[in-house]
Amino acid sequence: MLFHIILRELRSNILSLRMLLALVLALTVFGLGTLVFVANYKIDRKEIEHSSQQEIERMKAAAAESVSSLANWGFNQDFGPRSNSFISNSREDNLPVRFMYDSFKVDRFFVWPGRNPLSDSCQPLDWMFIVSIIISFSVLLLAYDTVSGEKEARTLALSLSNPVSRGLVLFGKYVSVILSTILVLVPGMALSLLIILSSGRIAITRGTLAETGLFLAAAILFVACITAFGILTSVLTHRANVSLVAALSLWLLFVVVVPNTALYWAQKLFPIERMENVMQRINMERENLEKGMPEGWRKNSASLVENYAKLENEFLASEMKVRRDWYNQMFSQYERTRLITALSPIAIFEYLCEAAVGGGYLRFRKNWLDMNSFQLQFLEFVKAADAKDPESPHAFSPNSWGISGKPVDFSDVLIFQEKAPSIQERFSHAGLYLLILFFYTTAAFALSFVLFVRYDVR
Amino acid sequence: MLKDIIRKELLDTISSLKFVFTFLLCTVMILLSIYIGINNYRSDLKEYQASVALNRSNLESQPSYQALAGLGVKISKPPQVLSTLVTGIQNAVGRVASVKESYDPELVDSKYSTSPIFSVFGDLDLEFIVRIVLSLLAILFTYDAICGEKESGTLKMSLANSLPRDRLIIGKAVGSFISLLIPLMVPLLLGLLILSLYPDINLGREEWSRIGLLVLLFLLYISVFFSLGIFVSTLSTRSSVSILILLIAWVTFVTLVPKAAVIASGQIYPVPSVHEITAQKDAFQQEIQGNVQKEVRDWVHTNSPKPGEDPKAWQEKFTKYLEDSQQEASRKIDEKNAALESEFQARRQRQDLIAMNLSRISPASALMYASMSLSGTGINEHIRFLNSIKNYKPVWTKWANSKRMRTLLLRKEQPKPDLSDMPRHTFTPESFSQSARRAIPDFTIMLVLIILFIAGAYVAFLKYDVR
Repeated sequence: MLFHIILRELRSNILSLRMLLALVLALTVFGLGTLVFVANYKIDRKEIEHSSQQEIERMKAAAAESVSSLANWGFNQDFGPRSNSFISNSREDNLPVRFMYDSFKVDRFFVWPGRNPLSDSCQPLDWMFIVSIIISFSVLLLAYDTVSGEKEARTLALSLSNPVSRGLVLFGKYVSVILSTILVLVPGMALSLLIILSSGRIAITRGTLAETGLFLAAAILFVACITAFGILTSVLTHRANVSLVAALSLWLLFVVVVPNTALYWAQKLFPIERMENVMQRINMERENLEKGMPEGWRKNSASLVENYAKLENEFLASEMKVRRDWYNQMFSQYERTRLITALSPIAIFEYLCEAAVGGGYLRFRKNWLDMNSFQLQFLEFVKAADAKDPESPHAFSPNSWGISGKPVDFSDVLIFQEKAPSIQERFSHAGLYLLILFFYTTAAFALSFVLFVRYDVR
Repeated sequence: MLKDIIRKELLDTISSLKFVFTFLLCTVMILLSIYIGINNYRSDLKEYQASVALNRSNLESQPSYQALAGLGVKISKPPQVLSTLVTGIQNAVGRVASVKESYDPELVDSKYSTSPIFSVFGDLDLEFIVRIVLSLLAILFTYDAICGEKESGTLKMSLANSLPRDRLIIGKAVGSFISLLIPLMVPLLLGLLILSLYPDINLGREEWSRIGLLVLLFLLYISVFFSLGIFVSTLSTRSSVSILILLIAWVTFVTLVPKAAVIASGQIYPVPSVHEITAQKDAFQQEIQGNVQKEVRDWVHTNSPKPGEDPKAWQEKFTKYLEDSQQEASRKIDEKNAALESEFQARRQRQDLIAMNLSRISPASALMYASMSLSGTGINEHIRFLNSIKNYKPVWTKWANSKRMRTLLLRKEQPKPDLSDMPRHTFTPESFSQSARRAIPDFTIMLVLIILFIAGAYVAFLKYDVR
């Protein structure tokens, strides 16, 4: 029976004008978005390779100069565009993609400089954007009149005069909307993959295919959730145009209101210190430390190197403590704000996509942690190089002349390699969001079911 | 007769659930956006005042003119008062510029770069609400204006009376437009009242004229979607088809065209990246410095102290030469940097212009650009501010250098800098008439669209099969 209901609904959906329009729109945007991605990816890649190459050259120069230079010069680590960002860019344009480090610390990160402020406001046309904005919109358009529309057309009473349970009818309608949306989505994704394959510039690996699969799974869950909300708006009222208003306002709430007010709540509820204050605190600590040194230590040449190194190490420790605290505040502000936006399934979908492609904040956090542990290894490496030099005073500290002045062989120098998040990391990142999405879907559908059981179908 | 139709339409809409709902939604959104705008503006203002004071005290605490010239002066960009309504690109562009010798002033430290959270989560301003929410509501008010009545069978009944068709459509349009104005204007006026009551928000006559034009712009924008709704509704016979076409048009206008235009302009007119420019600057600097070193070596070679020459005099001559050549080199580097930078900026501005003009097909983009021009939060005002700093730089460095030179030769204690005669940076914001002039194309585009849609609706309705 369920099969018949689904088949009937599906047939009527597929033959409808809205389905045709949705398909045309989806194919156009998928095609356009991917074409742009292919064109831009090569340019961005080239740029990042160029700047990474420059950093390697600087590192070589530092190693050739001395252990001290290698320890102190400070290098940039850039994180270039992902080859799978046609699936989801995950707002990497707005997140920091450059870290600054030396052997003592990883202390700064930067957003890609010099972006066009006009294009800043505009996210790329990736799969995530298409599904979260355009497909969600079409899902609501397919779902808003499933019940109230049939009531208006008087076919609902007829269907229910047959020996079928109401739950089955509702479920059949629900599944058929999801299936119709998949019929719009999959050709679009296929077109996009075809464009990428035929461009020959980006290899589609097994990993990319797996990520495509993860994305599709996330998209289906998301569509199921939005459909449940659409059906809910349909059983809430007896007239299709009121359902439409309700559906659109729900969409506005999810797309506009929740994400765009999040920043306001973040600043109100989880305020963090301003950058200037943090810098001031760092400077004050420095002054205090300097005052704490024994009188006239700068004139005592016997222990000058040791004292200087001691002071520099204290500076470093105090600065890094302040900075780490501040960054942790920043990260926790960001994570909590994301939790607020989880009120909207559209925002949740974005976070699921992030996990599927291993990008966005997940990538940033992983790289940040990896970079910090890499810095410790780098420090060990430099210390070992210093230990090999019998002439070095071995007074190891930033900006000091207590480190060996002998060159290092560059082929031994450690270089940071970015690692994509593992499957476990992705799932643990997505876990909470998956749960929330699942909760929304079942709650919306259960509510629709209760309302539909009592619905006056005449 | 016309009056009766308008009245009927008005009453019809006002008593509907749709109206109540729209009114509530508009009130919440508009007031919320203005409230958030006020909050943001006040915190920006506080930040601006703090950074001006900090810079001032930094300058005052310098021990000598030498140190002062090395430190340079920092110019902060004051927040625009109308950013309470239209944020524009304010958060994306830098807010502070350093002015000192051999350093091309550039506005850095944008809100987005100091705390990425700002750019990841978007902002909510009045312009955004109008652009996204109110346009959608305008469509919801009109999609079934004609075809809905046809479906319910009331259209043929109305026209069975001695009522000309043109009067019916005009009456319906005017009636539902008025009913759309109520949920828009009431909260908007209330919001503006709240804005004017805040003590630290100073709105002069010029600001009010700008606000007046902004409101007019918002009304025109909504009218575009309103007239489009009536047009499509007279073209289709079923309201479900009408809403579908309208919503697809809306998605295209509001989300796709502006995106596609930026993308297209990037392809039509590519601009070198900041990194390429920096690399070029670095290469030139290295080349010049290399030349200077070579020249110094040559100079020492040819001018080596003659036997019997006073070593002190030679030392002075050498120092003089070094200073001169260093100054010459930094002048050359400055010139080259400025040339590279201005070429880069010019290319980028051209790219922006292409993107702007391409996206103006969409009334949503026209609204965005015109409202940024009117509120002074757009790219144009940003560039004007940057140029004012660039003009200030030679004035300031001249002052700092003359002071430094005068005190450099003093053998005794260096005097503390006296800032009373330091030239100040001034910036005159774009005049109202100029801003308004720049918004004319956008106003024209909207007007043309409205006229086209209304004429189309009129003609289509005269031929409409009302049965």
